[in-house]
This record gives sequence, structure tokens and C-alpha cells, in this order.
Amino acid sequence: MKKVCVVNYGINNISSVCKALKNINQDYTVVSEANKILNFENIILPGVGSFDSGMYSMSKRGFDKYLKKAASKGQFILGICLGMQLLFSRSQESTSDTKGLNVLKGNVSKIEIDKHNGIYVPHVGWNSIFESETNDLNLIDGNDSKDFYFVNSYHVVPEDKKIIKYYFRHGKEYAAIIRNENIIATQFHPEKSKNGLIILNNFCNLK
Amino acid sequence: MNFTDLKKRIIPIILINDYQVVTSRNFSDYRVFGNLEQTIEIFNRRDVDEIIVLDISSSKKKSLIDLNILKIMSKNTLMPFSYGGGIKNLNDIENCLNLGCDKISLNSSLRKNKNFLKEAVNEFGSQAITVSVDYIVENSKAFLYDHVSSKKLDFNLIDFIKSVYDLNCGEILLSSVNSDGYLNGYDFFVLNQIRSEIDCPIILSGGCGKPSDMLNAFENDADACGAGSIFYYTKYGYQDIKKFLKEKQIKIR
Repeated sequence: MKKVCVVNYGINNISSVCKALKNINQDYTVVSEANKILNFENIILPGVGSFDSGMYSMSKRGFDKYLKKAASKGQFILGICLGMQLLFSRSQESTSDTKGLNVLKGNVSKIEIDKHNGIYVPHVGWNSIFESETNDLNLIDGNDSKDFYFVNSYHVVPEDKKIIKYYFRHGKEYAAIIRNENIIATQFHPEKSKNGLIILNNFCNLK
Repeated sequence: MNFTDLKKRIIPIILINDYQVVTSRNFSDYRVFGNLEQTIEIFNRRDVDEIIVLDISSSKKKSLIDLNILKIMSKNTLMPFSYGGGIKNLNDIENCLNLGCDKISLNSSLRKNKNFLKEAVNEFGSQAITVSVDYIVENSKAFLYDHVSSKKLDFNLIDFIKSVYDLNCGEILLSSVNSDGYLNGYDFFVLNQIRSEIDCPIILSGGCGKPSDMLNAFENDADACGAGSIFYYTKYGYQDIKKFLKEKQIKIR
């Protein structure tokens, strides 16, 4: 079995992820044909855009079916930003009640605005993340900066709260990193900062 | 009470005119500072929060967007960046995002067709779409400014800003023509009128000459400070500014 692939399902920003992988000297394959992802141990699912357009592009190319298959076979999947949200059941962002991949149970909801306390949406920029009580991840180096780059208006709400390993705070606490067995996802962009590269590197080395 | 750990951003804005990095005063008087690749490399080494690149020649010449600029950006840095200049359709936006842009910035194209903003938001999500608003103040009245014709426009500025906010733009880049390039501090005339009604992040730009100008902006509830000349023409380095702001209890990365 080959090691790392990056899913290319049309509208997404895969170049930043590829550049980051090059930066850590990680070999990878960009996969545009859905069935090919079954050949890889570690699958990276990036994503920018809206939930509907992301899901539409994904289904059009058949990635929905094969990602579900990869998830149930135990292949490691790392969802990033919209890629994280697409793993869930549905999203408030959808105007047509589009179904998500449903690999993880739960919804995607909008971050609440609280202008009196300076909480604006989208949530753009560098924010800190904090460990939850259930954290058992070794993805992050303890000594490093805990600020990561976020660009999101929505956040995931897993049915099983125990899969939330790290939070961020923006008015309320929201999921920043989740893990459920072989499925890992970050709401922020690990490919955008040096401390994030460590997360990518650790993900690629998961066995 | 501390409600968010989101940091205030300090964003170098790189203006490009025919591949040269320029600075301006009052949106004219262009002065060449250097080339794009070197300038990006400098900001890359300083580990800046984010970069905005604006190609001012693109709209003026009505040319297509120059994807080489994005390739240069993307090749040289991991840091988040956004691009503006000559974006006219969804295909342009897709090209930018595919080349590693995190956000794109729309300006002149929205004046004729606000529906474009709606389409862009539907396709790529609000978080990817910044609206860039240039304004000029004359006799205590603010007008939308067209950098292509160098003229003020007969639009109600506040209504225009509210309308792009209502169409769910992700951020507003608010630039003052009057204060641009003079290093005398930001203008708050429009920010203070709109802040209570706009719930998306606002990047203030134009006039920053010293760290306390940014402190002022953050105290006026700007989410990010855009700046150019302070980095090129003053003694203040990026880290000096951050240190100053941290000492003033502003949340900075």
C-alpha cells in the first residue's frame, strides 16, 4: 500500500497542502480519480468553499462513496477546514439540505456573532487552541505555539463530544481538532504555518 | 472577560504595478520600492500574520489577472495571503484559490454588478471573499473612490458597504485615500460610522506610520491593520510593532 495522498475533488485549495508536504519532505500523490484513494494509507482531504459546492464537486467525481469506504476500512483520513465539515452528517450552511459524508455523526453550525464583545464572523486569523479532557493525540508538539490560522464561519458539532480533542474560543468554545479512531480533522489550516507542519508530519507518519 | 483568543492581525499590503512593488500617496504618486519576489521573501522571514497583494495595474488596463503574480506568491511562502486586482468572474476566483490564495478581494467589478458577489459567496463561501472599499473624504463627507479613473463616485458609501455586508462578504478592506501614504495615522471617519452595523471583520488601511497608529485602530475595533509604507520607510520593524502592541495588552500572535 502506498503512503500519502491528497484528494483533488475540484474546487479546493490543494496547492497549499502540497507545498506544505514538500516542505516537510513528504512524498505524496494527488488523486483525482476517486477509486484510487483506496490504495493509500493516509488520505488528506483539504477544502475551501461552501458546504454545498464542496459536496457537489465531491459527489460528481464519486469521492463520497470511496471516502466512506476508506473510512470504514480504517485508512487514516485528515479533513482540513471544509474537508473537516464534509465528514459530518449535514450543515446549516447548506441551502438545499445537502447530506455530508456522514463518516462522523453530527452537524455543522454557524459561529455565533456577539458584536458587543467583538465576536465577528467569519472567524479569520490566528487563534489559540486548547486541549480537551479527552485529548489523547500526539499530533502537536507541546512546546510549540498553539496559534493556528483559521478562516471559517461554521464549526462542527459532533454527537459524541469525546471526539473533540482541542477547542478554540471565539465567543464560545468550538471544536478545533477532532479524532475518532482513524478519522482526524482540523478546523484550522495546518498547512499555513510552521507549527502546523508538525501536525501534517505526524499525520503522515500514523500507522 | 476574555471572549476570544483570536489575534488582531497586522497585514502588510503589497501594491503591484507592472510587477514592481510600489507605494502611493493619495492613491497616486506611485513610487517604486522593489520587486515582488524579494518583498515577499522579506515578509516571509518576518513571519507576518498574512499578506494582501493588490495588482493596481490590472483593473486599469482591463487586462486579465496575471497568474504569474500568484505563482510567485504561492511558490515562496506558506503564510496566508489574499489577492486583489482585475477579478471579473468565478473562473478568476477559482484560478486564484487553486494557486494557493486563501482569500480574494473584489473591488471595481462590484460597482456594476453586485450579483457577482452573491455568486462568489455561494460558490466559494463568505470566508474566501473580501470586499475592498476605497473612500475619499471631502468637506466632512465620505465618497466611494474609483482608483481606475481617480475620481470619487456618486454612490452612497455607507449604503454600499451595508449592501456588500448584506450579501455576506467575508471581510471588508477599508482604505482611506486621504491618509494613504502619509504615515500620519489611520482615518476613522468611516470605520466609526459602520462598525456597529457590520458584523464581519474589518481591515483598516491607509496612513499607518507608527505602532501607536495600529493601537488606535484596534481600540476603534478594527480586526486587522493593513499597512505598506511603515514597513518600507520607517524605523519600525514588524516585530517592534508586535512588541509594542503586546505591551498595550492587544492580542497579537
